[in-house]
Amino acid sequence: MKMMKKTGAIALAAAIALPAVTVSSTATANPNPWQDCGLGAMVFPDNGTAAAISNVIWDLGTTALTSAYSSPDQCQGANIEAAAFIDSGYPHLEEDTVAGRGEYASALMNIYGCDASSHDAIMSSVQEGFTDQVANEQYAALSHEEKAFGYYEMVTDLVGDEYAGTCTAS
Amino acid sequence: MSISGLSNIPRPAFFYVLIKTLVLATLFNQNLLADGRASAFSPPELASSQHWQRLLHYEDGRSEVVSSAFFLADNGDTDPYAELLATLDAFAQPLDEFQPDEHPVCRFPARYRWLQSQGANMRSFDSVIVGCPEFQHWSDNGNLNSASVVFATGYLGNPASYYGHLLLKFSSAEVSSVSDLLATSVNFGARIPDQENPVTYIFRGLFGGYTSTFSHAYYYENRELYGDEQLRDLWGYELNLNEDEVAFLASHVWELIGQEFDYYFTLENCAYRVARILELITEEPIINERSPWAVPITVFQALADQSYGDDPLVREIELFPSRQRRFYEKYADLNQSERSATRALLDNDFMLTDSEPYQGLSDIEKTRVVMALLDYLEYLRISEDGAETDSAASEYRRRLLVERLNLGDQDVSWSPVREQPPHLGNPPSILGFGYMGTAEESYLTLRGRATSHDMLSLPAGRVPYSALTMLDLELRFDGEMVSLNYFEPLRIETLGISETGLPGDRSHAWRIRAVVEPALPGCSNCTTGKLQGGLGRGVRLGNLGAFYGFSDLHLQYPEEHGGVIGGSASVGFVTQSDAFWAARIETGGHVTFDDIEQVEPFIRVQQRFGNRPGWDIRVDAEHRVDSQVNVRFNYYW
Repeated sequence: MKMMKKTGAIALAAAIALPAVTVSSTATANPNPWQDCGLGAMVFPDNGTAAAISNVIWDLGTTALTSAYSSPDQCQGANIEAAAFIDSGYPHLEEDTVAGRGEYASALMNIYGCDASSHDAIMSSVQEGFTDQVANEQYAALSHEEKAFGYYEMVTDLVGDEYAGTCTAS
Repeated sequence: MSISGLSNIPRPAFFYVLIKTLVLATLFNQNLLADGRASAFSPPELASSQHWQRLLHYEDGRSEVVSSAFFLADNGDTDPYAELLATLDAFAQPLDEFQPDEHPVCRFPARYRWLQSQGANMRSFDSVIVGCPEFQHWSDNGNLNSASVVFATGYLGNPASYYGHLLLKFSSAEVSSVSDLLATSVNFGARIPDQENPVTYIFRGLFGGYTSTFSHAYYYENRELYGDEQLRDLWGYELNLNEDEVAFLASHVWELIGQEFDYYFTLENCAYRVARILELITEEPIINERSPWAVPITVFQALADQSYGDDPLVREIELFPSRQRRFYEKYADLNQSERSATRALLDNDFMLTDSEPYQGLSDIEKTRVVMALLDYLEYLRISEDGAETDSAASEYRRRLLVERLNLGDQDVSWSPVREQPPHLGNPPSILGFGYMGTAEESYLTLRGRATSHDMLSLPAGRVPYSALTMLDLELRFDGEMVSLNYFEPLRIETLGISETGLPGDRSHAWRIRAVVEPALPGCSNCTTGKLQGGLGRGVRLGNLGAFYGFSDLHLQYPEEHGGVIGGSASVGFVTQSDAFWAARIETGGHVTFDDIEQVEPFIRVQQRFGNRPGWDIRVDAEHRVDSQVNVRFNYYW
């Protein structure tokens, strides 16, 4: 039921030029870590995985996360570590992005394996993309998952395309 | 030096063990120390050593690790020599016979390091650990150079968190150069089943029934959990260790991840377990072995007191403030115009372009206001149980984010007034002696309190304007007989002070108390048991202190001086400082429901003299029908 409500919200958002925020995915499109790799199960107990969450919060380390939540077929190309970081610290990333810098922004660039010399330029591009997202009044109505996925997809596309030469984990 | 267990082995097996000892001693015997002198590698001596037994977490002849996977010998949990032999045996196996991460050195890197340092003739650690990619990744490929113990301050929202919590954090130079968000953190806690009922939770937590374990995560997960979701400050105490020492400590923590211990809330808790790990490298004990309880703050007090060689054991103390504190610090740093603009925006639903006070600010002032309000909205969202609450608040946040983008690059600085680190507060337990005088009698008193702090305790490291005490007992001696003056198993009190006065930044003052004490001050033979609970409000008066008011309900049995049920209403004032003198005064009226028209006025004055963590002098006076004065010298430990 929640998915149906989200899909409606996303359709509205997409209709008014919020292209980064989508929740549907196929095996050939960019995978959605929240849906395709179980990241959503960790942070949305109302979808029936509450029993796993207490252990997940304890054991959310690098190997624990990737081994527990990667699905080879559906998650090819997904940067789970980046998605988990974005999901966890999203309010901080919002604040760092609008300021153009900050601790969370720098850490995210490190997760993507970006050269320190390119961080400022990448954050400038991220800020441009985020400006489009947050300027849309529908942004406030989006769920946490939708905002986080939109941000993740924007940054992943940036580091994979425009900054592929300076980032190793896109 | 005796070899544990050897004399109890049946004869055929005895010869097997003896031969094995000789073979392994020969295989692992390193005859040359770095300076060329000869040295004998002696497994029997090493097995009896304190260091080996600490690696196995032995206490009173048995390991406190209860999971069998931690041991390589069948009886490794009771026979450190058998475990040593099994470990040497395991390490002697060729690496190429194992899949990556499967060789025993991958599970026990600290044992390998230590045995090698004791003279075992083994390949270099760096050459064998290449077969352990998972450990290498976790330990940042041997680049860890910093180890910290992190204190999450107490949290009155959950009784299990009243006394704070401990974490370990490991970091490399590369990670630290950006921030510690991607540092490796290790947590410890009990495994609580889902939907555990509160009675079972309390009983098993106190008396046993849960196992506990270490787990690991990126540090940002714990910063989010404690600093944001629970609004607790995180104080990082970085240890003054070199890279080899950090590597060894991290290696041993790796060995413990996922292994299980018995859990007891008062003693075998996070403070105890982390202290036991740190005692592998410290020169002195961290937890007093004779203490019947382990309180997290005592670990930090011990760390701050200790030396490591010629230097302090603690290199640096760093605060990561909670979302709440970050908001408070920003708001306190706003100038008058900025505060006026902040309130104006709250009043006009964040219509920034329509707000004259806001539009009259400079761009830097606007940026400061926006940053403070972003923290404020997030603090409200979290303190209201973290719900993605009303759409209005989400829209307000969106407007602030857009405004911040429009303001561009601004060179904003803040000047927070930082609290003192928590180890500078009073230790949790008290031993005190004093004098008590009433209209009729004089007494000598002797007092002991298990934990933790009262309203006049030094403020470092505790929730402001709060009290949390457990097991407070005082005896009195009139020259002939010793009798009970009072026994207070529990007192919890918080004034719910708002730092800002802004909407949503306020909570009720509340208190609960269980006590056995005289029904009236100065009464020598009217001891009664009481349960008391109250609700009220507190208001801060700048840096001077706080006013408060309470309405309380009392239950007492037996009926001494009045009925079973009574109530009171009171007002009071308390100072909050680390100055030499602090005081609290409370006055009001008490009634019993049997005779509700008979109001008994009362007044209590409490004073603290001295602001050293280790001691103070308290002078208390109380009057309700009769009067009583107490003078106590308190020693904190």
